Amino acid sequence: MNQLNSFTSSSEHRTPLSIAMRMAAWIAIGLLTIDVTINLVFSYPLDPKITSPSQLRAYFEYGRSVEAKLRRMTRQDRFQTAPITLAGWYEPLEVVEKPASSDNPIVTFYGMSHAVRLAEAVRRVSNQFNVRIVAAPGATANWAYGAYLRDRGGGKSRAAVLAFMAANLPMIGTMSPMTWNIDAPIPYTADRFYVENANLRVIHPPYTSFEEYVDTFYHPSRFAAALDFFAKNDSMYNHFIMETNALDHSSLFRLVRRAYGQRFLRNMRKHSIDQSGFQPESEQIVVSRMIVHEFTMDARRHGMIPVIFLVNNLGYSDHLFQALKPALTADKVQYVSSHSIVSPSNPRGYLPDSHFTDEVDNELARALLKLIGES
Amino acid sequence: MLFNSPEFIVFLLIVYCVYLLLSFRQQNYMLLFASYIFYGWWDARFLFLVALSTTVDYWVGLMLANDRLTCRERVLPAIYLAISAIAFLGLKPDVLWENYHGAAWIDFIRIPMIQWAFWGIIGFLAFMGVAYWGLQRVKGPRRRLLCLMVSLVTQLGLLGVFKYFNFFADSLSVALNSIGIQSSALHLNIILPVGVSFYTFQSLSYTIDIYRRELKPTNRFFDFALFVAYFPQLQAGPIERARHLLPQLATPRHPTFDQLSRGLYLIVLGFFKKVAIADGVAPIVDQVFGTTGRVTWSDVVGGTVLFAIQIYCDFSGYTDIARGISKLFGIELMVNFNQPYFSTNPQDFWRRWHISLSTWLRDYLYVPLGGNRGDLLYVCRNLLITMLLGGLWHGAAWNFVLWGFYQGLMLCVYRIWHNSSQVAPSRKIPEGIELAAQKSPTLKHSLSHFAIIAVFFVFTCYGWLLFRAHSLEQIIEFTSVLFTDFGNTDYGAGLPRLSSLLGLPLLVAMELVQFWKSDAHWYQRFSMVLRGLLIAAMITITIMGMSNEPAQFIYFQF
Repeated sequence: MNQLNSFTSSSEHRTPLSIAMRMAAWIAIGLLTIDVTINLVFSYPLDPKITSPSQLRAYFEYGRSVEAKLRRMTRQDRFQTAPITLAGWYEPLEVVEKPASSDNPIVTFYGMSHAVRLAEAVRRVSNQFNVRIVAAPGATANWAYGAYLRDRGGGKSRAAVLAFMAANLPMIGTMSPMTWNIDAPIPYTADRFYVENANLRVIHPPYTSFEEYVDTFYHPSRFAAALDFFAKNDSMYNHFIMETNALDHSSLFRLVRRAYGQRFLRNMRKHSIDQSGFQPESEQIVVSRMIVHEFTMDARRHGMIPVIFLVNNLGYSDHLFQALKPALTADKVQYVSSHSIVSPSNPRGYLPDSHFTDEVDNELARALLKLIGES
Repeated sequence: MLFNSPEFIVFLLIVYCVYLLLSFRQQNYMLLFASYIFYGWWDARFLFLVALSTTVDYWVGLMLANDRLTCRERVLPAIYLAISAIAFLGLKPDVLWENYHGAAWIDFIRIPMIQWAFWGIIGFLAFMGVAYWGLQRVKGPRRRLLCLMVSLVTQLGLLGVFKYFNFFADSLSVALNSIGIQSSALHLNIILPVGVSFYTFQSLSYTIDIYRRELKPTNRFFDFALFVAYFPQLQAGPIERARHLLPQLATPRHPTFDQLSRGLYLIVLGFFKKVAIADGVAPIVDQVFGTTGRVTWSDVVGGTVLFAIQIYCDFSGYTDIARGISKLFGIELMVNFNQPYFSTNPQDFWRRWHISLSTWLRDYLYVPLGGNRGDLLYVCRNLLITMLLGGLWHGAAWNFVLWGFYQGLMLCVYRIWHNSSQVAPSRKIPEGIELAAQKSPTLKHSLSHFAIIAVFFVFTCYGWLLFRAHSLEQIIEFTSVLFTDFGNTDYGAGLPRLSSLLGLPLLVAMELVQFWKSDAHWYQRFSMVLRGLLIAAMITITIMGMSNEPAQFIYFQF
């Protein structure tokens, strides 16, 4: 049978153009149906206090603009707003202390959830130390160093631990996880550091507390000014990902925006990391090494033992350790690098949410305590 | 340039719009130019190899058929090759592309590469001139054989240098060291040109067919250049035969509405397979085969089955896109996959998997070796040699050789079993099922038939384990886990991406319907509403898959 005949056998009286138009119309109707169905079946709860919607509901929201997501999460009242919007602010800096005994020496941890888990592991494996935790969800090393500068071990710590993580090291030039954590943005802000004439300089964010954030967010002109500030100073700011528009209402368009966002992030990461590892001359590594140096000098000046905690994520090999090794050896800094405990290519050392297993955290804690004990 | 990149979408739209505006001859020139841009996007230097391969086989083809070259047939390709050498080896198109503002002209030139390219090409053309003069003085079949040798040496030489040199040099060094002879490995820092195995084999089929007097050569140089470099299938096939593709390139094309609609459907299907499914399972496969930790039976089985899915969706997805794009141009490429995982035996598998390669190996290697002629031992030898070299074609590594040997062994065992079951009628049950299945749709889709498919899929998957493993040690470790840790359900590798979890059931359903109906165009029997919904579903899942890390097509490395 002729191919064309076989195709048109059921619609002999129609011209190819009309068949094409009808087919395109049915595809468009199909896409519209899917779009509406997703919006109805997987609608995201409007109540900001609901923190764990189903995975599919969360998935189809990933591509919503950051501004729209913040609007859904944020309320002026601390008791009504989503809990995540309260996390990570510099003012006031939230410090969690977990004393075992008031006489024990204190170790203060600065960083992300890995640092929190390490602190908890320290308490599990030893009752000889008290821990203080200064942490934010997904915190980058610049946030952690900014927090350290504001806290300095609370003036009473024996050791200060600053965490670096391979997965978010490329974001060390950002000022808030809302610009790079596009699936689940968090509004807190961070200092941005840069190196000028071999010195570490800092740019402070436009707001550093929840109250300032809410105040800015609910005043369009101030928020527009804040976005302009981020656009100028945050290395990963992107207007298309950040700013809301009518297409937020389409689930398919949200998927397209998410794909764009992931591609944007991958391209940004490529500035500092490739298959062979982190690029030593990249801004991210230059700043990281300088932060290691400044943190070490400052902690020693204040009578603390500086320790660098290196989180080598699954699939990142020991790239982070290799990238920071020159700075670690130059200043003879104590460090704990996870790659010496668990291979970054062994999924069994990691939980499905990308954290280390408790056993690995315990090993890391023992290694950390040994270092502090020897110092 | 990758099919699954935004640059390619823009490139294709521009090329297609221009294509529609041009006359037939102009279309061919434009397609050739576009093909070179497409390939050069990766690394323009290697376009010289494409030009070299084209020029030599164009001359050889004409020499084989006519025993001589006209002045035009000599001069035009020579100029083309000389310009290619200087442009692709001596200039820096990336500088031209990125920094054309303010760059000095000297920045666009590779020094001293341009001098080497110039004198090298002068030397090569002089050598070819002497060779032509020499060939004119040889008479009869010997001249034809020598001409064919020129083509074989050039094409296989390209493969040998760029693909296999380091493999053999390193292996030789290891072998010598193991018997106490100290030798330092002669390792060259060579980049493997993308698609070199595809276009050299495609070009070789042209000269061999002419040598066998099964094909007349073309005297239109640019048609032949387009045949070698035609961009939809340049990087990963299908390995087209000249007798199929060249006539389509040499005559005006008028894409029918049917071609357009099927082409667009194939493009959507190809992207769906690649972006949604293959890229969605790739991270888990990489994790299992890249782990340095402990693996369990479930990890190995899960990782291997997912790789079977990945490689099928990746490679057949590429082919679908290539065929779809070609249909838009009014050019038909050969079918490369025919539901390979519905195979019931190794012979059946190789009639369904990478058909363009398996038929190439059959026609240009297996049959010349003796094929099915002779006794069983002789046939098995031919099968083993063919599949070993087929394995080696995939890559210069021992696991590919082992995979080829495994495939050859399966074919031999099947052949022996098949022959003995023909001799002993009492043992003809599976054969009977197969034969009856061809006649009766009920039997074809019987449970026992699906059971045979499932059992053979297990054997296919073990082959993929050999193919994907990164070392002999890993093959031994994973194989040992399969037998000593049988049934351990402690799975540690995580779940594939959502796009593949949604896409895979849809693809399996589509393949089952196709298998059930025995019709590759089954979807066209559906109502327009159903077709619209099906395509909309594939587009939606593909959009979801666009968030996945886009991986290079697996077969690009071959």
